Amino acid sequence: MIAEPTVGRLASRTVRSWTADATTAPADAVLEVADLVLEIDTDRGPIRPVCGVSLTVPAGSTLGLVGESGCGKTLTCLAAADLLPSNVRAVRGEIRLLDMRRALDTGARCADDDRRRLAWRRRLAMVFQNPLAALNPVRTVGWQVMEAFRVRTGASRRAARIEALGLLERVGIPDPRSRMRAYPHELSGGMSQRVMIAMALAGNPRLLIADEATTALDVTVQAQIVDLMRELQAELDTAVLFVTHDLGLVAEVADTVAVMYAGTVVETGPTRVVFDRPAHPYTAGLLRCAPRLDRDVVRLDPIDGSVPAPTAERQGCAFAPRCPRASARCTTSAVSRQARGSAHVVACHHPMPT
Amino acid sequence: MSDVGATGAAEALAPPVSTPRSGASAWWRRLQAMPPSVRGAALILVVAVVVAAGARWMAPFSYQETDLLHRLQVPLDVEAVAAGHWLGTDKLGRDVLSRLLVATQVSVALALLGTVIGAVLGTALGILAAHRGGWVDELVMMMVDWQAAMPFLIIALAMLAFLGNSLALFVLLMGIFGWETYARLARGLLLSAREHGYAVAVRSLGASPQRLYLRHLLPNVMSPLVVQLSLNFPQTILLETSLSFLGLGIQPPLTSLGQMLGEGRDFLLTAWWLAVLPGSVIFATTLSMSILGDWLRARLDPTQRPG
Ligand SMILES: Nc1ncnc2c1ncn2[C@@H]1O[C@H](COP(=O)(O)OP(=O)(O)O)[C@@H](O)[C@H]1O
Ligand code: SF4
Ligand SMILES: [Mg+2]
Repeated sequence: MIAEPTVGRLASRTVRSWTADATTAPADAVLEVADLVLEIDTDRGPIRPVCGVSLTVPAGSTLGLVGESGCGKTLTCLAAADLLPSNVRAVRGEIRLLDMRRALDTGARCADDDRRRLAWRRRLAMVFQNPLAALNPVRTVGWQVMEAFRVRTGASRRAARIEALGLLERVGIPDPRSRMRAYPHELSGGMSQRVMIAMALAGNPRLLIADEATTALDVTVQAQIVDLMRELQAELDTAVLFVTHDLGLVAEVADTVAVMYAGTVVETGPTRVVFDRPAHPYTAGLLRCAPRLDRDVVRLDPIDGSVPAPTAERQGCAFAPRCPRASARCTTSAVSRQARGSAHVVACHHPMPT
Repeated sequence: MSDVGATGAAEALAPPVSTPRSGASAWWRRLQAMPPSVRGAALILVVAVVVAAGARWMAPFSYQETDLLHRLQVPLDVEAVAAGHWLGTDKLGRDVLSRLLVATQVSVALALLGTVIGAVLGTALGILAAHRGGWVDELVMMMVDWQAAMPFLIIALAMLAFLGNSLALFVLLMGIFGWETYARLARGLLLSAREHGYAVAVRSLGASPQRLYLRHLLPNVMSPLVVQLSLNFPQTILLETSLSFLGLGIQPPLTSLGQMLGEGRDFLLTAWWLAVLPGSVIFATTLSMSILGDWLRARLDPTQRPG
């Protein structure tokens, strides 16, 4: 249930949670998520599908966010984009996006100043998993790309048309002039994802969040879209949060990687370092299962056991039941993050030996 | 907003086709695809609209002009035709054809106005309920339930009787009649539409709620609303005619189909045409509109659409 029922209603007591502070934001980070905890009420009590996620997307580079499906990647992205479904509650956490900052304490989500929240959303762009579902069936492709540009920049219809043509051309759509008049159902999956990317690039957002943007596509198209995104990223110098459950893709596109397990980031660091010398037993297990990093074969499921239910109360390490290195301490005391060389951080009591 | 409604409706009615639609021939093909009953209904409605638009120029006489020497003349009677009264005259010698044309104009215009007011009002409240949720939603839905539970004809009679009869109040009543179906429909459709991926995508762009609802979601749910409008229109005509028949609607010297019917009631045995002619027009237009509405619903409902 995605709702936005409260925009503006509580605006007056809200301003505190949104602040623009160019001074405190690190110049080199486009997006910074700190200690994000999300809670959902279910029949069997509240669960925390995201509990304590921290990550940083440096300017002009790509952060790969990997983890089994269900580990909370999408919810993390939605929180970053201020698009949380109405049944998801932010318990705590702080998110910085360029010069803006949001504190997500309980109730903050419904207490947001709507003007600021629109400004927030306009600074980033999302590319969704299913491009066909993300396009409006009764509007032409051209209209939708124009609309994206107009929403972000307030441009006139005429200026938006020129921009849309340019964008469609740039994302490699043949004959963009006639494609402008096509309806989404007339496009192939790959074409629609190109259109989504064109919409995402409209108005030059500083951050692109691609949530499983290539998962629904077949392999050759997937490769084309990945190439396109890398090309555009290099050209436009946009920061990218690239979310996938596919390790091979991460190795291919990401400069840094964050590995998620059961609602937390267990390891983060430069892609090379993490893949060559994983410090977290979970990462190591994943990589052992996929020694060649061939993305047709790799899926993050061949580790024994399954992900624990994301209950609200959690003691010790969530990976303990499946971990070959687990000790008694792992089940009782909370893990803290420790540095492992420059920019390489791991959350584990007994990291892999170097 | 006006541009949204118009383009939205047009697109909803004409499912996107890849071949460029060339005006006349495409229309001709669409006309031929209609079943005969629908074609007949469409024809009757076209005539009704033309009459409604041009009644005052088409009428051979002024609809108020009395001719006491030619009273209660029978339609197509030699004497009547000789005097120019093709459809006869009433008790004051007024030309029935002229009165019928003007009455059709008044009734159709009022019903159209009432339907549009109801549709806009109901849809707006439906959007508000869907968007705001909470107590706003509950209030709107409570009003919807009240309205649905009230015998509207009685309420309308009471209001006209108490507040006095004015054209503005009458139009307002016609507009209020039936708003709740649009509100309920729009609310439900929008609640489900905004779950779709494209709604999230539009919000992710940073579009304002107004923009999201009016430019993106509404066009997607337009076809059921248009169908509702086409089904509501005949009911509004019937409301107008009922109220006027009972003497609480359109007042003389202005006339309407219901008012003519009411006047003709006293002459059922002596001058049948005074009631039968307006009655037939009411019957033909409402039936046509219902047939067309049903056909539209079948056409626009994806579960019923052939191919
Ligand atoms: N709107 C929601 N309502 C209830 N549960 C949800 C909702 N969104 C996500 N979840 C649950 O939260 C967990 C994390 O989901 P998600 O972030 O989509 O994982 P991922 O993207 O890594 O596959 C899953 O168990 C999912 O079922
Ligand atoms: S903290 Fe313990 S259980 Fe968790 S990953 Fe490290 S060694 Fe394994
Ligand atoms: Mg996901």
